[in-house]
Amino acid sequence: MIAQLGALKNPLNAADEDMVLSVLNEVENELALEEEASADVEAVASAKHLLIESAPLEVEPVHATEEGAAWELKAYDSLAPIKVSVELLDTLINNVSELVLARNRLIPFAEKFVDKNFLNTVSTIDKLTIELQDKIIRTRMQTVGQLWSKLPRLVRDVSLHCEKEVQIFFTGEDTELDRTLLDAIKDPLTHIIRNCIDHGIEPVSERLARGKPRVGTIHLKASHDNGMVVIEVDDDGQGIDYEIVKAKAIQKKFITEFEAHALSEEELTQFIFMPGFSTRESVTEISGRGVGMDVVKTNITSIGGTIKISSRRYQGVQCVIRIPLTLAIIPALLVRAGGEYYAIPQLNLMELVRLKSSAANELENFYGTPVFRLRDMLLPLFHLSDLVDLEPKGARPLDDPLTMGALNIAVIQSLGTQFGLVVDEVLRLQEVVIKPLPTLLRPGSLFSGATILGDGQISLILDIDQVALKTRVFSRVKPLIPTQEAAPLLNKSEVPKQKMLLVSISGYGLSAIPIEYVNRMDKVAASKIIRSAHRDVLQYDQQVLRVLDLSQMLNQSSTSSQIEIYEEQLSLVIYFSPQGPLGFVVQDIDQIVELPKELHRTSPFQYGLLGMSLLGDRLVNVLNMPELLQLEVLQPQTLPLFESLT
Amino acid sequence: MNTLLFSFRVGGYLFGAPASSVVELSREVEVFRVPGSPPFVKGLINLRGQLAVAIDLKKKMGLDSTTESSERQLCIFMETTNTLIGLMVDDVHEMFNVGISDFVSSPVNLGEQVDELVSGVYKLPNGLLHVINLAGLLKTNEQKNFVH
Repeated sequence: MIAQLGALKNPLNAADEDMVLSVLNEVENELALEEEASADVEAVASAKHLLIESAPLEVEPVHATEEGAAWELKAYDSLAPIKVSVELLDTLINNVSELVLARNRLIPFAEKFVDKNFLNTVSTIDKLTIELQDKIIRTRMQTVGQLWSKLPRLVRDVSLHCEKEVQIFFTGEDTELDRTLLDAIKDPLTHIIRNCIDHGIEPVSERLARGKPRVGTIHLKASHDNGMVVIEVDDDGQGIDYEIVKAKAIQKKFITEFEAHALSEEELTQFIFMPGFSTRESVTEISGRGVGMDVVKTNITSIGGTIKISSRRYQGVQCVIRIPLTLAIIPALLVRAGGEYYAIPQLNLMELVRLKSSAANELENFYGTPVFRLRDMLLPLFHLSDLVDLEPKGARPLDDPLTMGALNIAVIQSLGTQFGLVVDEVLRLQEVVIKPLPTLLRPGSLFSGATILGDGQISLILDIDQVALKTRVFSRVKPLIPTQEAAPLLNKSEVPKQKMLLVSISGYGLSAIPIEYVNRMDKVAASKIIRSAHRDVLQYDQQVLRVLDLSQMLNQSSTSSQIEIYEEQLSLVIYFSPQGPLGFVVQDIDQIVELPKELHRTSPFQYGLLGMSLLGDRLVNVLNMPELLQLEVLQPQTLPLFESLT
Repeated sequence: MNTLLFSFRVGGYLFGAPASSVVELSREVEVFRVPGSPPFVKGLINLRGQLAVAIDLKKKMGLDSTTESSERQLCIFMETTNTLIGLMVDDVHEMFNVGISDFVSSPVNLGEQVDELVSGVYKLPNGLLHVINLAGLLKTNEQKNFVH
C-alpha cells in the first residue's frame, strides 16, 4: 500500500497541490516508521516483504485472512502479533483523517481539469484513502470477549463468597469495540455482575422453594445496534424489591413518604443510581457501601453511554448498557449561531422544531424567558448565540425572540430537564471526530471538545450539561435554594415545591415549618409541663421532650426560656432532633401544603425566617429551622440537660 | 553554551523563542473563536488536523494593541508542553545563535506579569532580545492582573 501511495505521488508532483502532497508524505513516513518497528520484532526479511504487500497496519494477523490467499495465511501463522504503541496508532489515525480531508479538497480540483490520467490517479487515491481509513480505525478495535474472559473467575469467586451457585453465559463475544471504551466499561461491568450475584441471585434453598433451577444464571450479551454497542446483563434472580427501595429512599430523605406513593417503578429505579444508596443493612466485602451503581452510571455516561435497568420481581433483572462504537467519533448535529459552527451531540438531541413567523404567537413570555408550547410541554427557549456570548459575526437575522421571523429550535434534554436551543441555521447530522480542547481553554468551558469539518473549519462540540447549567443562570427565575441535580423528582414541575406544615404562631400569624422538622403533631394538657432548671420539659412516650415556644424563639427573648401558658391544651409540633426530642408550642396547627421553594425576601431581614410565600391570598412566613435551632439547642452551654439524655 | 533562538517582533519589541520549539510559520491563518476563553486567546487554528491555540501576544503582554496589524498577520506555531500554540506576531526576524554569557534574567521590578512571560533578555549588539517563557504563556490565572 505504501508502494502504491508512493507511485501515485509522482504524477501528482506535476499537479500543483502542495497540501495533499505534504500530507501524503507524512502518512508515508508514519507508515514507514511502523514498518521499521514491525521489522524489529520479526527480523524476517521475507515477512517484511509480505507485510508491505498486504496491510502493514494490522495489529493482529487474524484480520488479514479476508484478503489473503492460503499461503499468506500460513506465513502469518508463524508470527506473533505485533505490539504497536497506542500513541503511534493515534498519530496514524490523525494523519489518515487529514488525508481524507486533503482528498476531499483534491476531488473538485480534479473535476475542474478534464484530464483522464489525473482523474484516474485521484480516484485511485480516493479508493486507497477509504480503505486505509477503514483499516486504521480497526486497529484500535478489540473484541469484548477479551474483557469477558476474566468474568467466569469473578463469578466463581463471588458466588463462593456469597454461598450461592451461579453460572455465566456469553453471547456475541466477537463484538468489536474501541480499546479505550473497553477499558472504560471494565469496572462498571464487573460491578454489575457482583451486584447480580450478591443482590440478585437467591441462595439455593430459596431458589428451590420458588421452583427455580438450583443454579442461578447470568447471561451476558453483546451486539451492535444502530452504531452503538449494546451490552445486556440478565440474571434470573429475585429482581428489585421496590418496597425496600422506597423505604430506603424515604429513610435517606431523597423523598418524603407522600411523594413515594406517586412514584412509578421506573422512577424508583433511578434511586439505585444515587450516591450513598444501598438497600443492604450491613456492609459486606462485596456490597452495601452505597458506592457502586452511582459510579457505574457516571462511568458509562462519561463515555457517552446510557444504562437502563428493568426488573421483574422474582424473575430477574435486566441491565442494558448502550455505548458508542468509539470514543473519538460521535454523531452530532451541526448548527450555526452567531456566525460560528457548533456541534450538538445527538445523544442530547430530542427533536428539531422549525417555527414559522406566523406561529410566533405560540411563544410566550415567562418571567423574561421566552417559552414555547411544544405539545403539552412548556419549553424554555435560549439563543445559542446568547449563551456562547460572542459578538456576532455579521448581522444576526433574529432579534427579539418574541417578534422575530422563523425559529430553528433544537429540543435538548439534559440534567433531567428539557429546553430549546434557538440556532440561526441547522446544517446537517454528521459523525464528528472529537478532539480534546487544549487545557488552556478547558476550565468552565461550555464545550467538550472541537472537531474539524470536511472543509477545514473548526466546530466546537457543545457540552450540553454545561449549557443546561448555564441556562439556569440565564433564566431570570432563580430558585432560592439551589435544587440538587440528584432531585429529578422536583424538576418535574416548573416550580420546585416543598412540603410545609402550616401553623399559627402568636405575633407572627400563619407560618410554615419545613416537613423535615415535623415528626409528629400532638395536643397535651398544659398541666403536664414540668418546669425544671429554667426549662420546660414534658414526659412524652417514655422520653423527655423539651418544650420550646416558637414565638419566643423568633423574638430572640432568651431571657426567659420558659413558655407562657395561656391555654389548657397546648398544640405541639414534635421533632426528634439528633440532640433529643423537641416540642414546638404553636397557637394552632393548620394543614400541610406545598409551597414553592422560591420565596419572597423579608425586608428588613428577620431572624429565624427564610422568607415569605403567598398561599392564595394569605401570607405565610417560612421558618428557618436550622437557624432557630442553632441558637436554642445547639449552643453548648444549654446542652447539659440533653447530654445526660442521649 | 550557545542556544539557537528564533526571533520575532511584537509591538516594537524583539522576542525570541527556542528554535527547537517552532513547528512552522504561517500567514493568513483562519482563527475560530472560542466563547468563554481568556481574552488573550484569539481562538483555535486548524493546523492540518491538530488544534492550535491562537495567542495574541500583544494582549497577553499588555502591549498596545491599538495598532491592529491584521493586514499581514503572521502566526508562529510552537510546540509547548502538550499544547500546540499559534503566536500572532507582527513580523519575524532572523535566527540568533546566542551565548549564555550575554544572558541577563529579567529585572525583579519588571512587574509580575512580564516576569512570568519573559525569562530573561540577551544583549545583542543593537538591542535586547526578550526570551519568551512558553509555559508562562499558557497560564490563565495571572491575566486578571492586567485585564481589569
